[in-house]
Amino acid sequence: MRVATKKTLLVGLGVLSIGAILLYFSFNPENGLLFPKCPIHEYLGIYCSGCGSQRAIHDLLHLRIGDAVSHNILILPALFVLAQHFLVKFGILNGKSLLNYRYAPLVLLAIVLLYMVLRNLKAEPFAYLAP
Amino acid sequence: MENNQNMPAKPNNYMVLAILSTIFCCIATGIASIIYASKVNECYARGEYEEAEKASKNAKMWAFIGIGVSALVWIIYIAFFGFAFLGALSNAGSY
Repeated sequence: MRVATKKTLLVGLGVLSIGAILLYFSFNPENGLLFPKCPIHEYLGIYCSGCGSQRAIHDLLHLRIGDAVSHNILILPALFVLAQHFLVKFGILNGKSLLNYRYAPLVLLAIVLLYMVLRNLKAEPFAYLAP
Repeated sequence: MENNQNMPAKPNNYMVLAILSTIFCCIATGIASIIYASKVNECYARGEYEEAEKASKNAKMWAFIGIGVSALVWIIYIAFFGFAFLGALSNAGSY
């Protein structure tokens, strides 16, 4: 990719991210008017691993960590892993990105599928995982 | 970005995008991305660099399908619920 194209892409991404952050800060997805609902939940009636992430992002931007975790428990670890990856990539942190380990994709797959099964269980300790 | 095919540098497996699709969106394309990401790693570890390169292209394709579909849903949603959106805008007014 040419350097100029890459720069344009990065600037575009930056503008989009700032817009998205403002949007998710200003409006609560709980009210449901503005934000698309999870299609998996709408049409299949089950919670997927991403359900609740819009509400969780809104909560995080308002520093309500507890609420964020109750809507989607994987958001925090996901942000941590992504942060570590980019800190290593840009040379701010030493070491190896967690995403570069050989079994990282399989571990992610296992976590996501397990989470998806557990959060659909109605039994007591798991009900908390539902968004 | 473009690696020489003969050089055994590991092709990108697009794990960042896979995480974004599975945890920040709606799983379907994310699972495909993860499976191809894993294939990139396994083929690379076995020394099958061309296979790894192919899997990388598939991982990329599924990641971008995910992004494309999400963007499309967003645009359609805003187009359909534009009025509700404007209503919410005028009611919120606190930033």
